[in-house]
Amino acid sequence: MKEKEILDSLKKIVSPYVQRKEGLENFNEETDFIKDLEVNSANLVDVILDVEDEFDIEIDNDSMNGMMTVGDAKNIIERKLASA
Amino acid sequence: MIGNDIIDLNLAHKQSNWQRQGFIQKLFTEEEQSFIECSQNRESSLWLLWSMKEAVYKAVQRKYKLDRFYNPRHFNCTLTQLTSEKARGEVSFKDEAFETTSELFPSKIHSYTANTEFSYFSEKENIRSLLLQNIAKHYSLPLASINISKSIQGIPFITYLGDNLQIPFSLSHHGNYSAYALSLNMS
Repeated sequence: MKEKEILDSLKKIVSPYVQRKEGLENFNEETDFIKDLEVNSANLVDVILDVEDEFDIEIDNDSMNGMMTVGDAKNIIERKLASA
Repeated sequence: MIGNDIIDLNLAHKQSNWQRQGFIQKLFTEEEQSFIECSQNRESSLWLLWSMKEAVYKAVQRKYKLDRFYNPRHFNCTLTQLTSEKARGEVSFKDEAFETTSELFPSKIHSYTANTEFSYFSEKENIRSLLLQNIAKHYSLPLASINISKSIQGIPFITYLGDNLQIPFSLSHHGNYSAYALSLNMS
């Protein structure tokens, strides 16, 4: 899967939980779920569950631990897809 | 070190579909899951445990100047006392245990780590300026000279004329409620 497809898909997944919509205008790997998009910390788990469903992967606790930015999420998805 | 967390239960109800597959399993340990499962009001029990985890996460992040991370199952909650208005408990993280107190209301839950003086207020009031007023009064400092800044880890600290006053405190905001926890007994 191409990087751009993953990023587009992540944007779609995270959108319902975004409280700061301007943060979506410049959505890139640096985008921070909590700081830039103001995703509630309890909703970060929804993002993770939606990513699992969308990509048919399992995100273990260790991977979840470092999922702060869109780039972090993209790297985890790529790694999981590669090992699937 | 201090951490606190406030939850607007009405907003939490709207924001989170806690009954979805995986939600509780990803956030809570097996023991915590069975506590939630067995409680009369599962939704408020889960937010009670969540606010304890969040409060202690903030405390350890501040204490050890940690980068942000997301690993709720590493914060293991046990309750030592639970009434309809108050909960006391302990949250262990790695080899350390932190005592917490939680005030329970029909519309909100406020948890904070031990040794804090605290307040909560509605959103209409500016919690930051109330916190600064409290500190100015306690230390007899001019209000205009104290400020809140943030470290590179995103941890806030209070400054007097630009110098870090090393005052342990924590701010929290959710929906209609804001809260702070503060310790003025540490020099």
